[in-house]
Amino acid sequence: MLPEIYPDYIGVTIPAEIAPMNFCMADEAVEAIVVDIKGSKGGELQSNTGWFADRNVAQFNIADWHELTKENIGGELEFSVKALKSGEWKAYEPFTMTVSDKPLNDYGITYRKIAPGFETFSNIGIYQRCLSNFDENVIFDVKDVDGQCMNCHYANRANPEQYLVHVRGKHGATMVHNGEKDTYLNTKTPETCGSCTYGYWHPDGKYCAFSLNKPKQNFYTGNRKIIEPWDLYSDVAVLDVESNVLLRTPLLEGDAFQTTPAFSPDGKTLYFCAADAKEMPAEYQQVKYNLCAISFDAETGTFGDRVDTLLNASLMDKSFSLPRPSYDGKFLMYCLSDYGTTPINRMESDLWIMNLENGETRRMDEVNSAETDAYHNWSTDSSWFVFGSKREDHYYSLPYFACVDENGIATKPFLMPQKNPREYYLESLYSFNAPDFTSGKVHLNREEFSEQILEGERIQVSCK
Amino acid sequence: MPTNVYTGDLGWLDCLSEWITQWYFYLYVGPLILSFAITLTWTLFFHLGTNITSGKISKGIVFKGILTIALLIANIFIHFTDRNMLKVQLLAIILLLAIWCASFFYRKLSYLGILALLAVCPFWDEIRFAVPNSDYETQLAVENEYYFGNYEKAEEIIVNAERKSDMMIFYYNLMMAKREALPDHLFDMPKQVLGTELTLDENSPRAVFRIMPDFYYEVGDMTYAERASLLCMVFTRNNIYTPMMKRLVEINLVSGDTLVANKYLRILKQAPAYRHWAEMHTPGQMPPRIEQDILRRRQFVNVSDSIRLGADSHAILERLLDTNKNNIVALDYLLCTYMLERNEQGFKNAFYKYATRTTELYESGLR
Repeated sequence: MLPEIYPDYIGVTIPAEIAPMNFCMADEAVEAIVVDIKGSKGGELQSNTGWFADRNVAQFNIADWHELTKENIGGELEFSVKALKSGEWKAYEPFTMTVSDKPLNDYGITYRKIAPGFETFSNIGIYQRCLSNFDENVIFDVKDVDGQCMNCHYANRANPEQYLVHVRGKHGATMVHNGEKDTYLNTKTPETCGSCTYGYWHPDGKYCAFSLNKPKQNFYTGNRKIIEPWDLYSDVAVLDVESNVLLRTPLLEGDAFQTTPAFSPDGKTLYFCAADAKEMPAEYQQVKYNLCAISFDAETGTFGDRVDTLLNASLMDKSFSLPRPSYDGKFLMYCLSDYGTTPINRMESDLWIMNLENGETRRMDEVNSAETDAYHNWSTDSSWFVFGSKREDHYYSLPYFACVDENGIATKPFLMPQKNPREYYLESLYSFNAPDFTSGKVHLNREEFSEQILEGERIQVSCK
Repeated sequence: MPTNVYTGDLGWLDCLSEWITQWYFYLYVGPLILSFAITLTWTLFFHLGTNITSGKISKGIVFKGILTIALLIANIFIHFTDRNMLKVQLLAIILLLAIWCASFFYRKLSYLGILALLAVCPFWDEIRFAVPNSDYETQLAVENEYYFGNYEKAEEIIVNAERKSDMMIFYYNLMMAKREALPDHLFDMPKQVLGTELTLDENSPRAVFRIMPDFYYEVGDMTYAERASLLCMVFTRNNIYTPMMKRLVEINLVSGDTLVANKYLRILKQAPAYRHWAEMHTPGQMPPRIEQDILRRRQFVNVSDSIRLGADSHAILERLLDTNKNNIVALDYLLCTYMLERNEQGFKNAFYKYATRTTELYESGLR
């Protein structure tokens, strides 16, 4: 009999660089656990059993773990588990993890940690986590911005030297970090319907596409759903981060809703989602977003003269959101849900993948769950992806990883490893929003950032 | 990893304070712990002071001094982790250092006292002294008795209270409604506070966050009760507020969301003070009394798949009655709200559409 372990790491595929995949028995009555690992290409490792070790968590020494995983790249690790319960040791059938031959070259991931308050917040912060060990650091948090809300951290292809963050409220600003230079922008203009919200960098780093939203939200009456965020207006524009000018086109403005833009890896195509205008919020269930694309010329900063609909929502009576092309240009991953534009609040949201070479698209059954699966992002070499899933408890979104092969088939996803996963995840009341890879550690001078947010001047963005 | 291993989230001092605080759950244990801590701190401080002024400086005094300072600083760190309070912390350290220095000058302590006072002046606004407020104490007593389910005692405190706050009246009405006797006691209090007049949004006072979960749990709107409970938790340390977490367990058990209920139960079981309650509410281990209460409430759950277009309590209560007309608590709140608003047409429409019973008050409203 296979052991029932938490997190469920049985049969997962891992990068050799990942932190030790510590786990415990799902049965909390288990008093102690001892695990022996044997590599198919050699090497052995036993879980820590020293005086200071957690007896009911299988924890592995980081250096020894990496030595073992690197020795077994392209091979398998066999885990033999023995658990002590009610004074009796029980040995289980061994299970395996595959060590992928695809490396994970990124340092870690960034995410926003927030408790679900829906209308207000207190403990909220942008964090980064090193994936080869268990170090978690605050990039900045609510204390740095005088208790104001913040949106997620958007990096240009996981580049820790080029990213932007939004701070909302009284001291609101969009901070663009570009190498050594930080610019604090006011992105609300009289010509546009809202401030810059969902961002995605152009690969050359000169532009950043944004949706300009006027967001609202309503609460559900029942049926296990809480909140429905929706847009009163939403357009898409591209910000020239050198001149601080918003580049617009009538094709991405008007009564219809356009949102969640993303540039193709060559920077010549801008993907986004678009829906016909409806009377909001009365017709919230009729808002179905198509997956669309428009060409973009980075030389001149101009858009193409037509919008292509890649996937038509009305044909499936569903709604597309969050297109994310892989950086190698082979795949486009997106979310599909019944309606609306915020899949993280939709229990039925699933991840789908499109092969950009032949246009074939399919639901990723190998990674989806019965609960929300959304907010996916690719590693810099496009071999791995991270996404948020509420599969644990229907409520709190946690970061999962999976590997994708050349045909777009993903491996069984695994929950981000922790030193003590039970303590970390099961006792946490935070959601991990919008996880994304970062190729290096993000260094933000929090004091300076705080000073600029609270007292600094804003550069007013203009429109073209 | 905690940002600060001693005082940051999950730092050992943080965990210690959380661990100690859980015992406040038991009667008299809270005051006992507090009295012990205060007595210990001030005994040491007094002992140190008398030794310093008498000119005796020994290893023992140095040890006591360091211990006193450590205790005081620990207290400050535990209680004032807000960034703005950093000044107060620095001030405390300055004062303590000043007193420490004073031990080398004995009788010149008064000069240093003046200096310390001067140091206090710039921060005077941040230092506030409060006198005991018996109204707050009574209100807290009502909240606690309601929380522990001692409804008769809570009612007695409210009835005997000299000044009745809005919150006390709210709880009085809620207890009457639970007893299906709201219409008979609607005018018992000098003013009427039902809770239906309150709205929940980001600008609502925290007191509203606190009472809304109780109100909507009793009328049967689990999504609203959940939203209010989560909002209430947001403003607590580490996002954990035990009364709200217990309420969230109940809400999710009623809604049938056992996955997340189990998550909260697991956290509650970590604390000895709440372990028994958590075990009694664990699916599969519930005693019949609790299980029946959960099942009874489940009959009233609104399962319609639509969004609220406003925070209007009339609409919320009507949707609940659309789901189940036997929801007497929701019915009484709806009809009593119309009566207090003197909305005759609204009252009559609601009565003829939903009422499954009548009372003397309702009869008078129909005339």
